Amino acid sequence: MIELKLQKSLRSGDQEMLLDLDISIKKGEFVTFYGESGSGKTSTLRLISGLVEGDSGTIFVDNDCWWDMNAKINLKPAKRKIGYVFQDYALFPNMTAYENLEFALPKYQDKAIIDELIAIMDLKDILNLKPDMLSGGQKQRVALARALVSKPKILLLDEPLSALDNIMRLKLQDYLIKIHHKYHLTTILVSHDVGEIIKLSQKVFEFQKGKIIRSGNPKEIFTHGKTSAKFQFTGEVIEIFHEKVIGIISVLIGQDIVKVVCDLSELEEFKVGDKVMVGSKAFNPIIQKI
Amino acid sequence: MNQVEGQISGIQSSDHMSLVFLDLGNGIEFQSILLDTQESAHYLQKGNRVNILFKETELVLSKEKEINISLENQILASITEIKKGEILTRIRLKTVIGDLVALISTTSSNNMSLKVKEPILAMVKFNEVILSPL
Repeated sequence: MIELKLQKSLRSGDQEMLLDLDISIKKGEFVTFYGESGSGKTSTLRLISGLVEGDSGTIFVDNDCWWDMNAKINLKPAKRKIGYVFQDYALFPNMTAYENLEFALPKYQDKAIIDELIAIMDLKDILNLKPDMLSGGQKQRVALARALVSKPKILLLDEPLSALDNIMRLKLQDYLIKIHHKYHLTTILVSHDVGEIIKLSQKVFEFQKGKIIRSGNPKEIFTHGKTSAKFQFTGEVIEIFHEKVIGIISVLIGQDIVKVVCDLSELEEFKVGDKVMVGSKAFNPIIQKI
Repeated sequence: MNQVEGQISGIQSSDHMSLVFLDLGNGIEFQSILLDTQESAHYLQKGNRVNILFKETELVLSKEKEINISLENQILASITEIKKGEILTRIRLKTVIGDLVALISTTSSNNMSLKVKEPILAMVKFNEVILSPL
């Protein structure tokens, strides 16, 4: 259980903002921080990891105090058992993939973990390559493996997949699910991709100007109250057509594009880039063996 | 999408399915079949208010008012606007439960020679009706 009760004043652009949090994350949970840029998501990861300190408050993890402003307790980042993965990979460019993993191994720790991660993350064929020889997806797999070498209990992922194309993204999401379960991690992801959030996380915290404005089950949060529709997906509007008496909206769902007919009166509600829920009754779709 | 508010007036369930009876006010009753039961969807309680959703394309229109037909949900309407496209025609309807929109083929619209102010029976099958708890 991670319990964060803290305040920190932040600068976002030319604006002063107070990050004011009171959240708890259960052990083994996969949660997502969602919200506009500059709302405090990355700062919260940095506070948890110990890279920055709050102005007041406490951080408790499994009832151990990691940080307490008044009691002057501040556990060093290296002691916090955290794996941190960034959007830009942050691999050492002068080292091979294998050397990057080896470098992260704490002194006297068994090397077996490296071999295990190489197998899980399918890194065998790229071990001797340096980062500039690797694709974005490969680099991020190495970065993920490297974050896990020290056997962390908490994995912090700051938009790790947002620089990747859609197919690579979906693959990496499966790796994230795999390692989350395999290593019994508590994982905190920062993401803007609603489909990704629903696929990966059990809980979402929505940030706005330094505060949590909503939290809960991602599907319920993003579909704004449930409907009885059983054939339900979330995606992004990529094209809108006005066809005489109807509207046709193309929606990207995962790697697939679906089209939905809507009434003219609904057309103005939507614009390209909107996150949407597409729903139909379970009675409508046909099913065929392929 | 057409959207009207109503109240759950009855629920008949089997293992995985429910037939939900809905009171839309003014003596209008609708039915919706769902792959849900009171265990899987807690909002399914008699007396709860819900939004009732159905697509414009699922509305069937008839000039005859008394027909023996397997369309569970029926409501009398009067046409307030007809907008013709090459293939589809959009018809606005006024009913006691509010305004509805129907999209039918222009061929059907022509064959039925539909006109504004004309009374009409609008129908929608029970498996096309989606519920959304309020």
